Amino acid sequence: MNKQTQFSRRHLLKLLGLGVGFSALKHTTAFAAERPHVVVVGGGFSGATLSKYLKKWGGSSVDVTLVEINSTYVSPILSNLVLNGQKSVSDLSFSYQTLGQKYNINIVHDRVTAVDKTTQTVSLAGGQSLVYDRLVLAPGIDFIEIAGLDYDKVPHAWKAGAQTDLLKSQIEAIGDGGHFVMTIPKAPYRCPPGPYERACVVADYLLNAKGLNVQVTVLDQNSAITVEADTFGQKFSEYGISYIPNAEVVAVDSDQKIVSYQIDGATTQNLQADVLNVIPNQRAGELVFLAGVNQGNWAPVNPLSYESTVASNIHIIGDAQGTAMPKAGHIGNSEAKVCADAILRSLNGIAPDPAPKTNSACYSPVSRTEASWLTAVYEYRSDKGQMLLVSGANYPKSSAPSTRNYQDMFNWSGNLFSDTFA
Amino acid sequence: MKTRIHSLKGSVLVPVMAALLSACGGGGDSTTSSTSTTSYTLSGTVPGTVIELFCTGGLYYRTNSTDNGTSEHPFSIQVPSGLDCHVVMTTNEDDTATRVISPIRFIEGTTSGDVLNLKGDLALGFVALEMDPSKIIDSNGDGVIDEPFEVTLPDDAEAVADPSYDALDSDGDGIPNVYEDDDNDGYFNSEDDDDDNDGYPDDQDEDHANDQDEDGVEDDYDRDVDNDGYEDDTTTTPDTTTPVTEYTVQKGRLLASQCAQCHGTDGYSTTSWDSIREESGDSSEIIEEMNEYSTAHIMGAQAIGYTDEERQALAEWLSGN
Ligand SMILES: Cc1cc2nc3c(=O)[nH]c(=O)nc-3n(C[C@H](O)[C@H](O)[C@H](O)COP(=O)(O)OP(=O)(O)OC[C@H]3O[C@@H](n4cnc5c(N)ncnc54)[C@H](O)[C@@H]3O)c2cc1C
Repeated sequence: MNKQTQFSRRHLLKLLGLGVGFSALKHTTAFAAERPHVVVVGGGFSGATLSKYLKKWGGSSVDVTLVEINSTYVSPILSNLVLNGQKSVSDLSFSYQTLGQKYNINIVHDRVTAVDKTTQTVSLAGGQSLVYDRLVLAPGIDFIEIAGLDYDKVPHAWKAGAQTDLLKSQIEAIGDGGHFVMTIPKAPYRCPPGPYERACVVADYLLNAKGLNVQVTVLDQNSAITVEADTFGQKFSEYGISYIPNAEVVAVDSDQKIVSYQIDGATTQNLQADVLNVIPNQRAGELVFLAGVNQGNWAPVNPLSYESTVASNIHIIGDAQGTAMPKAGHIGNSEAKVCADAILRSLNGIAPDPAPKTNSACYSPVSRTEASWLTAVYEYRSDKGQMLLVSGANYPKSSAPSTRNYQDMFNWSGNLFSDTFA
Repeated sequence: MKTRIHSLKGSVLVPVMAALLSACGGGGDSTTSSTSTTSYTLSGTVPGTVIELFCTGGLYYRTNSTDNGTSEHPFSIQVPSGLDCHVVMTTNEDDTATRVISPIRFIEGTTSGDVLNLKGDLALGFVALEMDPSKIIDSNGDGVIDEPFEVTLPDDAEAVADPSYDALDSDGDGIPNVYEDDDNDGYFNSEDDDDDNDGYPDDQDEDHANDQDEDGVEDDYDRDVDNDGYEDDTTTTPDTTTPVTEYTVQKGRLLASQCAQCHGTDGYSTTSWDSIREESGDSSEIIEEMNEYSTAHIMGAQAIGYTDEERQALAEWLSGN
């Protein structure tokens, strides 16, 4: 119907990469005030929760567009249970249908390739552009490269999905006398207990479920087990896991499954495996660097609103943000609510809540029947401008892994998943 | 919380869990309250006309005006609240040679907009649509007027909206996507077998594969994929129990939302862990429970992170005070 052009604006946008706020084609009459547009990039635990709560609390006063590459999200939470056959990747898969249909969020499956802070526009790989009033980046993590490492041969399985299935199939192929070697990244990394949990789950599966005589070796780039040291230490000795701290991974031979490492910078040593699982050191998702909102490896934010401290109207939540809070899905969901509330307040000219709280919980399976947990609450300390552990709470953890905790793990994750995606 | 939970489960949670199970790992519905969706009535009089509404989420509604023997035929149509809707009116709808398709633009005081978001019933009065195709401006001859037909609303209707991202009218010209003629061949998209004239019929063209009704909302997110006027899957209940139209600061809500990771959205659990929504309105029980657990239990370990005032505020929100 366009008189001026053969193309509808839908096509124009594709062809010219023009924004949706493109007003030249709008009409002579003064249009009703356009609703504020929040563009959210990344539909993981943090970005999905944020989108949902913006609409839940802001309703029809705000338009929310969620840009996510994949139409199915696979939760890394519980994904170690795929390795021992207790769960499948499809059990951990979520669609964005409920978010789209129930909360009226515009869902766009595409990859953001550029952020223009001056025109407040993001560009998508498909050629479309979106103009934002507020932009929220929730891209999770990316890996810092290691020479010779090919993820198609040596999976990290630290983003769930195909990588998880690949590692699972390699583990299934291990026979008697085999050697499973994994490496643990230097903190900060996604899910502090996760790698230790993986070592336990895999050892239990190979030794006890399959009855194999297999060696499990853990190379830790940290100087000691970073969390729940008693629980994991005890399980490591029970499973006969050989634990090597301070081991910096310097190179990988992905075909030969050899990992080269140095202890405290000393001479390089090689270790050959039948199955090698290298979890590399981490930094914020590439998008944070594309947008130019990083400082070092992560994105610095004001934890009252998660607004970037280096760019206005851009917020960063989840694993990619640079506060001292752990990089985990439960607390990513928690940060998202604080951020949603702060964005809605700011769109209404109200200052953010001055005393937000966030919390974290990780359930770690250590066998096919037992799990441990770790939890914490963070408070805003105005003297430091940071979220810190609630003072004096002296954070407890489960006294020992138990079957009760193993069942609770599913009660917990079920509600976390539905609070995020349903 | 145990006693309270049992009563809750009996009445509210069981159907929810059933819905979750049937949703099979993917979606599922965490809102337990039965959704009594509010609807408003859009009414008016027109020459003999089909009235179509293209709404948020790909919802589609349609009605015919009633021939009452006069030149002003009444119509009325129910619209769920909280939705943005484009309105299109077609006269002589049964004859493709003479029909006139008029997307509507609404004028309200000094502003105008192409979508309605009803906050109450709305009576349009008589809409003097054109019936003669020779009198309209229709440069490509597809029967759709080039510029939306303007209808003036009462100044206080507060019904005009302007979404910043409108999937149903991608170019923002007021002509919904289904009535755009992308390739300018005289057939609008929903009746054009090859919208972009690339030689690939739409049903084989990857540009269109995911949008059967060509309304701009992809099938995965379209609540009425084939625009038959019936919502496809009503297990995904729209969150319209109390449609929110503006943000308000609510004491305790942000804190209470931090319980949802373990206890479910708004305190309605979808697992066998306790719901903490206090339907009775009595906040004291939630506070009691928070004080009760030892820190050897994960609940106690969480609870020590909150001050008395915070416990009070979140409990009051969860009990609806
Ligand atoms: C084995 C394991 C166990 C874990 N266990 C727990 C646990 O018990 N408790 C816990 O709290 N956490 C746990 N975690 C951690 C948790 O999974 C992550 O912290 C969480 O997923 C981070 O959420 P996020 O939203 O920041 O990022 P992600 O979940 O990684 O989501 C980021 C999304 O952004 C998308 N994206 C990225 N770039 C772009 C772009 N340019 N354009 C469009 N989309 C883009 C990606 O496709 C992705 O879907 C575990 C992790 C692992 C690996």
